[in-house]
Amino acid sequence: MKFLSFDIQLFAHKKGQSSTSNGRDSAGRRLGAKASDGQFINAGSIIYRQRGTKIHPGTNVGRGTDDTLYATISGYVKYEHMGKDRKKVSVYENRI
Amino acid sequence: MIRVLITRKNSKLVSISIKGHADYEEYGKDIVCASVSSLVISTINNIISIDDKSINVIKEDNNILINNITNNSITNKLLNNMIIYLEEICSKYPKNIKIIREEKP
Repeated sequence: MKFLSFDIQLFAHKKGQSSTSNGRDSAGRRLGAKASDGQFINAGSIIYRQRGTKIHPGTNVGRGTDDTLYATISGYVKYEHMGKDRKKVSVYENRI
Repeated sequence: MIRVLITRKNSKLVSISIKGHADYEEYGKDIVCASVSSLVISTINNIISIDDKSINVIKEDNNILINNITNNSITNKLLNNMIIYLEEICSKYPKNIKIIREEKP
């Protein structure tokens, strides 16, 4: 009977075979703008999906519980500056 | 997890099967695997050097089956000594090695 070769990593995962406990991720949330500047939208339509207020609600725009911005009237979308470095989005009946 | 199956018949040691991965650390750093590998391989090689007819070893990747053929006293002592140390390792690293005992009728 032959001697066994002395492989002290015999009961280990071979190189590149090691299991890792990472490798999981949740599906993308598809955040961002859903209506562009100057676009006509109906009341209730979603304008911007976000976490927190990257963009603030302006005129005729409501904010949902998950910070989603939506139009409260039908009209044209307008992205505007708010103060020095913040933005807001409004909806106006007539195009501006 | 490394699984050790110890099979006895009428309390005589029939076979010992050791298989699996320790999964304690990546290749080259897995101390549990290193201790089990060293213990098993050195025991087998010791027995072969004393009486190579007393056991039959089947090795495939990380599966080793030791069949106790002649049941002579030295071989039994060495195998039981290996079992004691495997149990010691198992007590310290229960997530990485498990010992199962089977008594054949």
